[in-house]
Amino acid sequence: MVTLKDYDYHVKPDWCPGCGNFSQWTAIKGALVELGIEPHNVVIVSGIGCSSNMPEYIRAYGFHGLHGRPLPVASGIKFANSDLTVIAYGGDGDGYYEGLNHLYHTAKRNIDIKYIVSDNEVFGLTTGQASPTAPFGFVSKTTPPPEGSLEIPVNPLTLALTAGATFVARGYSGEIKHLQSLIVEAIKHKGFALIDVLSPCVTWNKIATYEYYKERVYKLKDNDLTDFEGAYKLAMQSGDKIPIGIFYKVEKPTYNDLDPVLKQGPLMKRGTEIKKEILNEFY
Amino acid sequence: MKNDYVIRIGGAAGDGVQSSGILLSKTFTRHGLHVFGYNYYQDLIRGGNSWYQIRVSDKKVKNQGDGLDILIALNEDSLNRHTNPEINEGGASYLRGIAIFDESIKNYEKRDFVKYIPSPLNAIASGISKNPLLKNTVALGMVVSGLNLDLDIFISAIKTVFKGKSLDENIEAAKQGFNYYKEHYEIFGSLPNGNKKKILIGGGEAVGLGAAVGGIKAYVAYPMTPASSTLHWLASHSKDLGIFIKVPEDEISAINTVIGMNYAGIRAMTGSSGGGYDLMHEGVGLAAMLEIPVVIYESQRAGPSTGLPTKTEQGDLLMIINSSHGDYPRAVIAPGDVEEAYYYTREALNLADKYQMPVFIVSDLYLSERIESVEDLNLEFKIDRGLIANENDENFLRYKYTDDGISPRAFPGMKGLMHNEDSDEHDERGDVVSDAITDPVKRKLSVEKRMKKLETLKKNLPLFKTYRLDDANIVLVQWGSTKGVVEESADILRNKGYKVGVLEIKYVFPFNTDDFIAKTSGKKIITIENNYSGQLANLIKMFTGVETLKINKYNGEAFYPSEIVNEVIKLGGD
Ligand SMILES: Cc1ncc(C[n+]2csc(CCOP(=O)(O)OP(=O)(O)O)c2C)c(N)n1
Ligand code: SF4
Ligand SMILES: [Mg+2]
Repeated sequence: MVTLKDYDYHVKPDWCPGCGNFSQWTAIKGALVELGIEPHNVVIVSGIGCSSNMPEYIRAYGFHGLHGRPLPVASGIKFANSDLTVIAYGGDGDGYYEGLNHLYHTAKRNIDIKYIVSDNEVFGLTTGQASPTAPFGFVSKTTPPPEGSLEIPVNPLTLALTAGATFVARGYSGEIKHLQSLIVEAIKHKGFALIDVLSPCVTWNKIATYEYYKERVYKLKDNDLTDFEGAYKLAMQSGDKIPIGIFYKVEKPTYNDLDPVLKQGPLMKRGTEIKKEILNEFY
Repeated sequence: MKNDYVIRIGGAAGDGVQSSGILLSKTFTRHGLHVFGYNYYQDLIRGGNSWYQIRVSDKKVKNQGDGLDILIALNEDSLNRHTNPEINEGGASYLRGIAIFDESIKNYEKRDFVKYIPSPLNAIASGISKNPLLKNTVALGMVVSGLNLDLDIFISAIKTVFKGKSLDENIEAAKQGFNYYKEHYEIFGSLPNGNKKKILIGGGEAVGLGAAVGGIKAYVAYPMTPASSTLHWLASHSKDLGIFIKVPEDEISAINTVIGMNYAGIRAMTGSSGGGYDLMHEGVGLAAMLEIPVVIYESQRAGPSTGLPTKTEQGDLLMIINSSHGDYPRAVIAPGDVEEAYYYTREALNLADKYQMPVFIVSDLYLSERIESVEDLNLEFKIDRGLIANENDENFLRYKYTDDGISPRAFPGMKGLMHNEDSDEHDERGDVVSDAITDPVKRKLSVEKRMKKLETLKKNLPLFKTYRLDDANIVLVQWGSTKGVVEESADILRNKGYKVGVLEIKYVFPFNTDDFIAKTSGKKIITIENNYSGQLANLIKMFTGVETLKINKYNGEAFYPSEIVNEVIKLGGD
């Protein structure tokens, strides 16, 4: 039986005390244990940022790559070996600025990757600059007062929905059990899953705090998970009421199901056999 | 007896110039003859001026050749252009031989060194069908006849290129063209029969075949001329070879996807031209840091920026050798011809796995888009996956500090070998040493560990190849696609009494300084490159301190032998 101890690594997180990333660390490990997945079959791929240090603290296969690029790496891993559970992980700067292009295309390809984004509305690691999800008017080192940020924030959920993601959810670091259940459902889902996690950065973000979310966050109940328009409307909700939970979930063939080469099974398990006839076309 | 002919098919984009060139080339190789074919075209789908040049002989043909013996002109512009002694086509020669063209072309300047053969190409073709490209086959039939070759072999080549209705039409066009020439004109020349059917293969295809034989399970690339011929060939064989093909959203995605694949344990490759490769630099550094093998095929075109998308240049060498920030090991290999493109690509895949570093196959438009006849290709190949850990090895350290710098890999899914691979500096285990407290001791050891692999590789690389160098007092130094034209230039210079040999740099990086000095000392050294600044010359200077004489061409076209010969003589070929 798989236990939490199996995922316990000797390197421990060095996030600021109270950082929302701790809850996600707990929830990810908890979900993997709940599903009985063994650590050697799990790959956690991340980008760069405070949050992206995640794979360093979990005893599984970890890949701590480049800023903005966890999704292409994760795609490559899933293409090569569909037997693995592949979790892509990173921050909002990583996924919604530097790597946004990849999110759209990975989602529409419905590659069986679980993408968890620690959304703290700032660049934590680089000392708190406004990120793509920072609210209009957000004041930071790079967006000085009085104007603050002049950008309308990215809405990751509507973006993923429009791209054709088959599983779209939002979690909250203040609700660990709920977050774990979302991760469990995402892993069980066959296809691309985005979980945007509201995750307070206690050091740099004095607006999106635990207190702020506590008053606004509510859990979705009984929403029709296959209703695209309903999901879209819920995803547009902001301000005083912020829904968390699964917004949308439908079954569609994954890229590995459709591709004529991939659907024959993991590339990893195939040998190379080149027949002499390959040269015929050149004669 | 003349045994070496240069043939040109000139027309506009959309006229079927290239497909006619390939069909004629196949007809030659089926006669057992040797061929070299090269497409001169522009970044355009219709119109303009393009031509296909084929050189044929019973001996190995090493380049597109000087001179022009037979011209098929598909329009008036081509007829005037290629018969004009003032031709300004980047070094190409004008016609001194026969010109075959449609009789409707009347408006041309007569040259007394050209034998004009106005022919009813359109009339014959339209008597068969409305297909406008049939006239090309009529003209090819005339050439086949004029060179006293076998009509049946020509038809057999047609059968492999065309299908269905257009097959019958083309056979008919071939026959009528062949007979028309025979009835009206004398044989133009005769080629000695070759002994054995040859393989006719393009540079880009050879890279693809090398990759397949080298064991790739995936090729991920964003289209960019002239690297796309490899992508297209592999895509056309994806199902029968079991190779997964993916065009991702951009080249950044391509390199990172391929890194993910190699990390997961399969061999996967990417390729692009300079502009696309520019986007991959950060990814290449990632592969170097995580010690994940990756092979990148970089086929150069004339730059910078979009440059000349359909023209050749060797302007990316120093960029590749220096690409991506930081000090890290890599290997850069530049095959010299189509055969080498095949053999070095598969070898690159073994090297990448063995040394766990980025390995580049550097080509250019001149190599990637040429076709060459090859006697045979050996498909037997031993795939060497390098050092891989055993499951549940309690002493497993992914980045173990070893004497040769090489440490065991472990793939996800393997039991008991879980570890982290990190773009941050890390220790033997893979744990980060850059975050909470930077560890300068481990940082130094890890840098040395990675760089040791370069020393190990350098020790194991083969020595530089040479051509007629033994008694030479002049050494022509070349890298990549210019191999054949430089070798032939040396032959011509030897016939003129100069003692010339060639040094061929295929493993460009790491550079074997000792071998270079051993093979060139006491000789006049001339580097020959398709670029402005002499990038190999600069590399040589950096590693050896030796200043070479330089011959450079950078107008977008490949060298012709006569150009090199003249330049060498000018540089005092004594
Ligand atoms: C190509 C590149 N650009 C910039 C950086 C610097 N950088 C590191 S992390 C980061 C932003 C991190 O923000 P986010 O992804 O939201 O992660 P967080 O720290 O908030 O968890 C930046 C800009 C980098 N490492 N690489
Ligand atoms: S800076 Fe913010 S995101 Fe980074 S560890 Fe501290 S609290 Fe977490
Ligand atoms: Mg952030």
